[in-house]
Order: sequence, then structure tokens, then C-alpha cells
Amino acid sequence: MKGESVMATKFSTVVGACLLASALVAQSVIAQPVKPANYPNRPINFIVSYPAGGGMDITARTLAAQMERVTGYQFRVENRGGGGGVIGNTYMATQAKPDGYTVGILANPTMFMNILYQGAQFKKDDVEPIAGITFEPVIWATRSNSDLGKMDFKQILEYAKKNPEKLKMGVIPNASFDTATRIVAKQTGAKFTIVPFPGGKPAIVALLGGNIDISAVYLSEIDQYVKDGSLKALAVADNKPLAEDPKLPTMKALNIKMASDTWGADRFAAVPKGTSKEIKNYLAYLIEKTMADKATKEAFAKVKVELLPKTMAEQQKAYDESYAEVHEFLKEAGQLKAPQ
Amino acid sequence: MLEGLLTAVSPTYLLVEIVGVIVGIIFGAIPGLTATLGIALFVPVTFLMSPGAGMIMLAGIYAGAIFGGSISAVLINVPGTPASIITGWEGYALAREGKAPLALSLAALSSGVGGLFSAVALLFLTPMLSTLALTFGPPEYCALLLFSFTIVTVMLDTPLMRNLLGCFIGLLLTTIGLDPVNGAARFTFGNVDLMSGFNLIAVLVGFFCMTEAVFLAFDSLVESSSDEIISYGKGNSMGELFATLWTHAVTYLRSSTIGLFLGILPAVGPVETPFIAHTIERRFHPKDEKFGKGSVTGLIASECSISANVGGSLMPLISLGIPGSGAAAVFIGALTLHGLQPGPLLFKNEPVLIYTFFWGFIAVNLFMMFFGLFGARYFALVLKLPKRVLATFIAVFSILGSYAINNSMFDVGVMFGATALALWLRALRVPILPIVLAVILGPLFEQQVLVLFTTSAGVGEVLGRPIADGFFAISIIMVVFSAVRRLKEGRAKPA
Amino acid sequence: MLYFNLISFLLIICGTAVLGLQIPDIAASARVYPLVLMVLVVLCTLVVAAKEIAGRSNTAALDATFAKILSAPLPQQLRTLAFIAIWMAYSWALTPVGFLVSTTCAIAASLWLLRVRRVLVGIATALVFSVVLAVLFATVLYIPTPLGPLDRLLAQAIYAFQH
Repeated sequence: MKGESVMATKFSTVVGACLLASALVAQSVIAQPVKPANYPNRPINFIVSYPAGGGMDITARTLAAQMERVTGYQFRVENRGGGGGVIGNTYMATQAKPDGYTVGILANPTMFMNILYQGAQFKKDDVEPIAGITFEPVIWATRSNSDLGKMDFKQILEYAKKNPEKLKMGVIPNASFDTATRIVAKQTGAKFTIVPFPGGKPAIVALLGGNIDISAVYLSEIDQYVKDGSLKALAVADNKPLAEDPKLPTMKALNIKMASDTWGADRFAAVPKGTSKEIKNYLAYLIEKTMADKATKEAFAKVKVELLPKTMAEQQKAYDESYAEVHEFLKEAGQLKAPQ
Repeated sequence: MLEGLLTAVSPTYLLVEIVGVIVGIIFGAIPGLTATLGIALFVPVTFLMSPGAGMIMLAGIYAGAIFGGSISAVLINVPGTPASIITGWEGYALAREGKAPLALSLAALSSGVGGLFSAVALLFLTPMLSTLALTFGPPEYCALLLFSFTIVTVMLDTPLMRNLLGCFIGLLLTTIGLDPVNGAARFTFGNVDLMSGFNLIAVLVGFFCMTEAVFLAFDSLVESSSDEIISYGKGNSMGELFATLWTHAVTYLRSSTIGLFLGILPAVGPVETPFIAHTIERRFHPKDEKFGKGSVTGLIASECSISANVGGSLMPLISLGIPGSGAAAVFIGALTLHGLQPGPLLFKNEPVLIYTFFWGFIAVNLFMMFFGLFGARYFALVLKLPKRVLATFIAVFSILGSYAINNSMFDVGVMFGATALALWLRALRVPILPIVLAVILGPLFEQQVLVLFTTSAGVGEVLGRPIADGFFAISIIMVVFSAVRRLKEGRAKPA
Repeated sequence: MLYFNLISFLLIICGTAVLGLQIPDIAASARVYPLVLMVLVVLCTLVVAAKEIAGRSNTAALDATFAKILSAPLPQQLRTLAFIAIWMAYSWALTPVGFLVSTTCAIAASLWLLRVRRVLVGIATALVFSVVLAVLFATVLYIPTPLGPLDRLLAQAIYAFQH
């Protein structure tokens, strides 16, 4: 009897040790899902809803290059620009085949604006996010050697309140720049003359040339001008400080109520609805693995994009929350177009 | 500066320059494929080389493509790129007179001169001239564009009302898409694809390439006409060619300056530049009856200005990070992907790279001129192809080229629609030039008018800006002159 | 010719009116520019039409190329129309059928229609051209043409070859 219980104790100890060891090992490695059979057997296309050369395109191309390096598979970029992104987004949601060879590199809240403001013919669940790449919030900037350049954002808002419509604010209509500015204006009572531009570059040119006083932009677009002193960043449309410029006042610091992580460019990867779970998980794993790699971070830093990876679950959460925010905002503004 | 020169003539760089120019010429010469497409497609290839070499290769493709478009424009009346439309009119007319070698070589020479002019300006004057890009605000743009529309509608020989009709139809067509104020859909009838409007390249390919394919197909079926389009004719001596440098010096200089200036302005690119330069040049040669129908001066003006525009658009790109044309915007993307941020800091941080690039650009233009001058007779081999083959392949490339811009079949549909529109308006005797200019400049014009009305305090502020005043004044003068001329002609005609 | 012109002008005015019906759906500030243009288009069309009717139009009656087309024998006109039809059909066929098959067929059909003398050479050229382009698009130039079943096989073959 005694021998048996000794054996039993030894046995359970060994089993316990094995279990502990395997648990530890599992935690230190990103769990690799089952590789789907016969996939991929040809290049995978990243669909970008903007023309070649722009910010989204650069993000997608850098990701494609890094993924080729890390995974050994082939990734191509396919530009489907037009309509401020709605053409490519509609393609992803309605025409792209869910076979795992078409992955969209998309941007929110622009895509949600397509659905809720422009009345695009697809629904939010027609694409399924598989990973988050980066988020860049809108910031406001002005010329350094102008009257506004000597004030800080709070003072500018007060000035705009006292002198309604005197300050010319450049935005891209129907995009985060526009919405963030309107939120600020509504809450502080500041009144700007909104000047619409078709893209970031024309707005920056107008700002540099003195044709507008202040503009909503992305920091990455004006990085050079800030560094050489011609433009000055004023505030960031988010509640946590910007990594590249932590001193920029946030909305929270200015007592302006604004949702976090919404008004800017949330760049993520997604697949069309109906892609098999196996392929989805495998793609998500590949992207996560690539983004965790140190050289990838450096490659993105070289093109002035700060990599802020999100897992599939995290991105899905951000996706749903962002949708609710945009829906809420448009409803209050009375501009909600009934989704088709 | 010297270091840049030495790097630019090192063997690797020379190879890259030559390859870039040749690829560019091929892309440009094939109708339906554009410079922008060429640059975008070769960006991945440039990752195999150092950033400096990559930049020069892309610049070579840009410059080569702009010249290459003229080859097919002159030889088969199909502009290889939209920039070569005007060159096509002059050059093809000359070719039909049996002067194809002269036209081609002259195109090469003018391209070279214009390109070198802008390349030298790039080398020495970039810091100074690039600030010009910033001084142009909404009033200046509106004045410039109004000036462009005026010269085109007023200076053409065709009746004024038909010119205006074409211009207004073109402008109206550009309003379809997203409205510039709110980003909401306008005139799209619920169609998603229309939200991006009518793609400019697809429209121009439809207007000029596909229509020509149809006419060629028709011609090839006629039993009596010869299989070849035109006979090449005898070559010219180099002496005759270079003599034009002296006899037409003013034209060369004027067109190059206009091209450079328009290139520096963001949003005015190589497509609209020759229209403006050509029509301005016409003003200085009122007695030249062949203008638009085979005039050497017109050809020089057109080609010079386009190539000068290429260099000009690189100026604000390098120094301010602002693209001076659509192809330049892709260029910026390519630079960013290489880790080089075009803008004020690039000049400070990487002067050697920049100067290497500038010298490389000079070399690129020299190679372009060289290939053009000596390769002319080889290009002409294209003329040996029977019309039916040309018609077929122009159709293929028109379709593929329109598709490749945004990977969209809708753009191919737009191209066919534009072909139909061009044929219809031609039957109606409405001239195509005002429509083309309106379609190209329409979106920019509406945008600038909008910003003008939103930002300016009143007419007084607009009139207070000298450059804008200048353009407005010239426009009014031209309208008056033209009205007088037409009245005189009207009186001279028998009642 | 006069009737053709007048009907065309009528069509232009109708087209403009159709656009005009959409105006109320557009925001106020985005309305002005197109509205002004519409008015101008209608005015110009009316003036040009009036001039034609009054016989005071000072353009030649017919464009030279069109004169040639209209006076050509019927088979030739039909073949030209068929040429256009082939290429439109090609665009429609690209997405379902794929690049390789549709390009080969379209080029071969076009050459045959335009009475190429050596039909087999034409077909061979079409095939070679399509394959070369397809390989070029897949390896160097990266133009994502629509993939039909045959194209997918080619892509897989190239991929397997490269690995």
C-alpha cells in the first residue's frame, strides 16, 4: 500500500510540473493558429481606398513589404481610389471575394462617414477587422510668425468666440478634421469660417501662404514645417497626449468633451464578411507577428508612422465603439442619412 | 554641389538614368499609359536601389514619358499621354505633309531644351522660386484659370458660341461627384462610382485615343487607302534642326518660362500647360496661319512648355514637399517610402542627395533629347504596322490604361462614354479644345472660386493683389481684341 | 444635318434639366456653381440652335471625317460598329472571364474583323501578347487585372515557381 501512494505522489508531481511548464511556454509565444491548407498559393492583395502616394498608401506598402520579409509570402498593394475612399470601401464590402486573398487596409471614421453621411450601399458588418495598425488623431496648427502663432489654443478659441467668423479654419469636408473642429466650436462657442479643401496638401499650402489662419491636419503631414519652425501645432483632438509631442494640450486638458481614439485616422486591416474563420485567424496572426517584430517598428518610424498595433478583438471593439460615436454625432447634428 | 555632379555621372547612376528614360519613353509612347502610371508601377522596383538612384530613375521615367507621348502623337495622331494632345495636332499635321522626321526631331529638341531649362533652374533657383508656389492664393488661381478659359474660348477660330458651349458643358460635367463644400454626393443618382466624378485620364483617353482607334479601324477597312498611316519622308540635317534654336529663340524661351512657372504652381500640371503656352504663343504670331495645323512654332511652344513643367513641378516638391502635378504627388509618396521626407528639412539634411538628384535630372534630359533625336527613325518603324493592327492595340491599351488608374472597370466605362461624347460633339461641330481644358481645370476652378468666396472680404481685397489684377486685365484685353476681330470679319463676309 | 443638330441641342437641354432636378437635394452653398453653369449651357445651346435655324451659322455643314464615314458602303460602317462592340464586350467580359481568355479572344476577334490576312498569325499574336502581359503584370508591374479561373492557375504557377 505504501509503495502505491508514493508512486501516485511522484506521478502527480511530474504531471503538475509538465502542466506548469507548458503553461509558461504558451504565454511567451503568440499562439500560432492552424495554417489553412493550400493557403496562400498566390500573392495576397492589400486594397487601399486612396490613390498611390498618400498616407494610407504608404502605410499599406510599408506593411506589405514588412509582411513579405517576416512571413515569406507575397503581398501586393492595389489602389482603388476615388470619392474620398468610398469607392474602395464599397468594393471591399460588396465585391471583394472572401477567399483570403483580398485584405482591405481601411480607415475609420471615414468609412463610417461613407455609410452614415454619404449613404453608401454597404453596412458596417460587411467587413470584419482583423488587426489595428495605427491611430493618428487630428491636430490643429497655425503659422508660427502670425498673430495666432503667438497665442495658445485656449486663447485662439476665446478670440474666435469674441470675433465670430473672423478666423479662417481649413478642413477637409466630411472628414475627421471637419467633425473635430465642429465639436470644439460647438462646445466652446468659438465661431470659425470653415474653408473646405480637397486634401491635406492644399490646406497646408493655403496655410503656409497665408490664405487661411489655422488648419486641422495630421502631425505627420506638417512634421517638416514644425521642425523648421514655419508652422506651430496647437492642440490634439484626443484625450491622451500625442507621443511625438506630449506637450500639445489635449481635449481633456481643455475641458472639451470628445470621444477618445475616434477623430483621426484609425488605420486597420479587414477582410470581407464570409471569409473562413481559419483564414481570418491565420491572417490576423501573420499581421500581429509582423507588427511585433522590432525591425517593422523601425521601418514604420522611417516613414513617419507610429505603429500602434491592436489585436483582432481589440480592433473589433474599437470598430464598434467608433461606429456608435459617429452615429451619435451625426444624429445630434441632424445629418444622419438612413443606412440603405 | 560638385559632389552631386560626380555622383550623378558615376556608372550606376548613368545606368539608372538611361533605363529610367527608356522605360519612360516606352510608357509615354504607348497610348493609354501615362507618366503617373509609369512612376507608380516602378516604385517597387526602385526599392532595389539606393534612394538617390531611385529618385533619379523615377524622374527619368517622368521626363521620358512626357516626351514619349509626343512620339505616338506625331506619328499616329494618338497622344501617348494627355500632355501630348497639342503636340499631336501640330506634329501629326506636319507628318501628313511628309515632314514626320522634322516633327519628331523638333519635338525631341524642344523637349530637351525645355527640360534642360527647368533642370538648370532647379539646380540654381530652387530656394528662390519655390516660395512662388506659396504666393498663389485663391484670387491668383481664379484669375489664372479665368485667363486660361478666356484664351481658349476667345482665341480659337471656331465660332465663339460653340466654344463657350463646349467650355460650359465641360465645366458642368466636372460638378458630378462629391461637392467640395460638404463632401456629400452631388448629381450621382445614387451611383457609388459616380461619387468620384469622371476620372480625368479615362476621359482624355476616351477623347483622343479610343476615337482615333475607331477612325483607324474604319480607315483600314477602306479598300482604297494605303495600309500605312503616313510615309516617313526624308530625314533632316542636324544643322537645319539646330538652326531653329536661333530663328525661334524667343518661342523656346517664352514657352520654357511659361512651362516652368506653371510647373511651380501646385495643381497646374503637364496636361494643361501646353494648352496655355500654345495659345499664348499664338498671340505673338497672329499671321501664322498654320498655327494648330502644322506650325513649327506651335510644336516648339507645346513641347518646350511641357518638359519645362516637369522640372518646374519638382521644385516645390523638393523644397516644400508640395506636389506641382499629379505625377509629382506619386513621386512624393515614393520618396517617403524610401524614408526621405520632401520638404524644407530635406534640403538641409541631405544636400548631397538633392544636388545629385538635380544633376541627375540634367543628365536625364540630355539622354531624353539624345534618344529622341537619334532614335526618331526607329520610332518610325511603328508606322510600318498596318492600320488594323494599330487600331486593335490602341484599343487594348486604352482599355487597360483606363482600368489601371484606379483598378476600376467603371473608369473603362467612362472612357467609352467620353469616346461617344467626343464623336457626338464632333458631329455637332463643337470644338473639343474648350471641353478638354474645362474638364482638366474644372475641379480646381470650382475649388478656388469656393475658397475665394469663403475667405475674401470683398472685391477690393481681390483687386488689391497685383498678380490677379494682371491676369484679369489681360483676359479683358483679349476679349475686347477678339470681339473687334470678329466684328471685322463679320462685316467683311458677304451678308 | 440640321435635324441631327437640333435634336442634339434638345438632348443637351434635357440632360441639363435632368441634372437641374437634382438641385434641391444639394446643400445651398454647393448649389450655386452648378446652377450658374446649367443656365449658361442652356443659353448657349439656344443661341447656337437659333443661329443654325436662321441659317447664319458659319461652320461647315459636316466634319470631313464624318462625311467619309457616312458615305462609305454599309458593310464597312457595320464593321466599324462591330469593332466598337468587340471592345465594349471585352470590358464587360474581363471581370467574369478573366484577363487571359478575354484579351486573347478580343485581340483575335478584332484582327479578324478588320480583315487581317493571316488569321492564324493573328490568333497566335493575341495569345502571346496576352500571356506576356499577364506574366509582366504578375511579376514586375503589379497591375491587378481581374482574375478568371485560368488567370488564377497562372498566378499559382508563377508563385510556385518563385518559391
